[in-house]
Amino acid sequence: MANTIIKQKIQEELIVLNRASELKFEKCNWPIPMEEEWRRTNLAKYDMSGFQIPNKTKNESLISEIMDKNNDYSILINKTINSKAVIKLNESGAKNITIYDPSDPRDLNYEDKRLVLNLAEDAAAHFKNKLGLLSLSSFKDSLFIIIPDNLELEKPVIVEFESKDGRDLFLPNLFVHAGSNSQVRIIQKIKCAESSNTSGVLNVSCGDNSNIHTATVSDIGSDSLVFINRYFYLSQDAFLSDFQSASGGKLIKTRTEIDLSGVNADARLYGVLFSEENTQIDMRTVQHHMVKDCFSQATIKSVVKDTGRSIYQGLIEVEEDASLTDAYLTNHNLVLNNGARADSIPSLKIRNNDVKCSHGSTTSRINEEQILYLTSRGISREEAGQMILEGFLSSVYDQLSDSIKSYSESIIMDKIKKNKVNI
Amino acid sequence: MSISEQLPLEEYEHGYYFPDQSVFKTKKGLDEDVIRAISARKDEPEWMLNYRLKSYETFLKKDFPNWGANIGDIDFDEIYYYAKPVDKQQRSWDDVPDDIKETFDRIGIPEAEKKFLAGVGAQYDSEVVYHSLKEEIAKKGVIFCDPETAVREHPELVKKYFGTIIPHTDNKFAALNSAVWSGGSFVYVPAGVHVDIPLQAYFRINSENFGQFERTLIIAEEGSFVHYIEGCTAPVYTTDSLHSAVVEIIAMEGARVRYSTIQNWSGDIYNLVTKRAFAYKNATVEWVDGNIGSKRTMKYPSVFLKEPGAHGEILSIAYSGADQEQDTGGKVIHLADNTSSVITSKSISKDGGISTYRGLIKVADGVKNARSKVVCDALIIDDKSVSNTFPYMEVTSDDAVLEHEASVSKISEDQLFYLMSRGLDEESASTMIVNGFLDPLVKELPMEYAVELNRLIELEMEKSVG
Repeated sequence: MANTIIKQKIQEELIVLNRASELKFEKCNWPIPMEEEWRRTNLAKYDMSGFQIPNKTKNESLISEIMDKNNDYSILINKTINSKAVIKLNESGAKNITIYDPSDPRDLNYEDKRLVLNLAEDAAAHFKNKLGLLSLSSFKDSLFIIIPDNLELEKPVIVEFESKDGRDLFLPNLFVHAGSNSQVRIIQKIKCAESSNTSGVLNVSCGDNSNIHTATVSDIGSDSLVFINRYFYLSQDAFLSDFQSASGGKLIKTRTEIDLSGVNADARLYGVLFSEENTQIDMRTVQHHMVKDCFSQATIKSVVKDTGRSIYQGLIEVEEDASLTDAYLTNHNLVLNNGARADSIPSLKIRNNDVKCSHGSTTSRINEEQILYLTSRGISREEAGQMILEGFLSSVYDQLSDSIKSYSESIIMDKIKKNKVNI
Repeated sequence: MSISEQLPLEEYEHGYYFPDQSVFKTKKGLDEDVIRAISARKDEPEWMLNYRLKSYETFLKKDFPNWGANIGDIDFDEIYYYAKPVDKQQRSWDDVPDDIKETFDRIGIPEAEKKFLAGVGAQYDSEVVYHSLKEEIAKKGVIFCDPETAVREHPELVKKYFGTIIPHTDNKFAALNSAVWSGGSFVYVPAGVHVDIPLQAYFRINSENFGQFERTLIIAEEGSFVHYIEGCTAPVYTTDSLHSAVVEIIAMEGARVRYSTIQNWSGDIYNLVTKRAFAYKNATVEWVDGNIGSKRTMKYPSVFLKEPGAHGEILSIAYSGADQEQDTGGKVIHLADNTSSVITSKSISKDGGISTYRGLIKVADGVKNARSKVVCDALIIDDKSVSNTFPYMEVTSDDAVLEHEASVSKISEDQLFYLMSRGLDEESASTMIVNGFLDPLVKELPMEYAVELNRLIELEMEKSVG
């Protein structure tokens, strides 16, 4: 992390960074299919006219009601597009957390100021394509969370980003610094209305020996274009369990990169994709092993139906110094009908020979034997199909911590239950 | 001591060369005149010249691939595109000029011909200098000749199939080959004929700064079988040479074609080859592809399963030593019901070499009962070397089963310990483990090739200190 000397107020520092991203954005071209990562998602096919630097509108003071009725959170933050954050605390330890909302500027102590700026600068160093630059050109919908060292929260921190309608560009950015030995669960929920143009960022820095569970779940209205860039930095002995689910919209493209840069760091990535009708979901994960003795594992499952399409591109990259790396990647895809399409590209780039790396990928339809087993016990074919789908995905959900599981499971499972599975 | 220090690279045994005594050579570089000169030398019909010129236009228009090995440093103006070593092709070894004969004698071709092969073609720079086919096989109607002869004597077959599997618009190097192709093999196996012993072609580059562009077309009619083997070597020069072949295979209903390559080019050759096969109803195409030599190789043999019941199999072995990059793999496109495919890849990286598996399995919309399995295993011998795996799987059908698995490892200490505690020294133990690693593929090779490959691997491991 950069060791910056901060002279100005934090909001002024952040505006400098916004302007720099804005200038780069203007000069930068949209990614084209010549770039390997964008080969299967051609932006020329989509109307990208909504993805422009947002006008500097005054933040509305209108506060939306918080819908969450149960108290199963330590902090609940609602950040509606172009509005100030509404924050509810529900656990005493939560008071020690610094939450900074750039649309509601206030002065921070020097240390928090430094951490906030570091997070923003780190993101600027990693999200260099036009969409990343756009996300960083304005912090109107952004939120910074600084978790102090040694803090343990029992219940999760839930951050709900919400776009009211599809009129304005939605830039839901979440920046999290988790201090040494901290233990937290953070859920980023992105709720997009119909025809929303969304470009979001998640940047999480996990301190030494921290134990962090994160999830990005999205509830996306039809016809929306959604891009999410996610970056995790793991220090020594840090543990990360990350989950993301994607469904709905016209196009969802996510990129998750994990830098295992401290010895003995441990990262587990889970993903669930459900693509139906005309949805295209393109998910990229990178397990980047930079130092020795780290473990990483990615488990991604995808279900495609109708004319839906899913693309999963996974990469395990092992640097020269990263001996004793232990890295795995598995991708399973279910194709429910002809015309639905699942692409799977699990890759390895290995520059050290003292490693254990492997990946496996399967793509198939629902196993006929399993259907026979269930139907012969009096279950209808359609129900059997649904049960198998649920079982297929629940093996991912079962790996998550209870609070994240209960929060995220229903989003895709409900869709599957609503859908008729014709097999 | 690390394993890499114990396993120094062997000397390249085919590194000798004879002075360039070509009877005709085009000027350096490529333009329309060079293409016309090649065509005129071959006394080609108008349609072939036009095809060459059209391909040259495509070559100029096409970009380099933006993926794969770094090949941007090829200087197309520094290459000789055509060199004719002899005036006339021979059917008897005695008539082949001495230096060329000695080259092939050293490689062991005439001996192999006597013992194992049904037919042999030997290409030296641009032209096939020697060709023979056992009489009893020729009697069955099998044609095995160089493509120039085929253009002259079997124009109807050539016109029907040439460039239909790999059109000149396919990629930059296929376009280049289509423009300046010279030599190669033409194989035609009539319906129902089984050629029980393999046909072999041997490709040798002798000149410096040279580009070899052989063209191979294999047509296996209904219910026939043929096994074609090619081997390649070149001398060691300080400047780079280019080998860019195009191989097209057509396997008609029920036919089986097996194509085995052991590529052992010297370390200054760019080896950029396009190989593709069409398999029709119940046909089987097998590629066995061993890449040991060359500076950079980019080669992905592919099979298009065009009709129900077709089967494709690709076995790929790659060895990358110092300054080498092997970017190899395979592609199978399932276009019809009840089709199946298997890709097995084994790669070894050593002394800073880069081995890359790059492959594609595609199942077209609505195809029923397609099955495919891809297994990639990589061995990295030392900590300087690199192994990459880039498999692509695209499925648009609800009745396909695709499996892919890959793993990367080093020679395991446990295995070494096991063998050494039974009295083997470290060198023999390592050699045994590497040979064991390749064993599933080596078994698929004809006897003499399996022996050759085992010997090559042993040579690589030879000078280890126990």
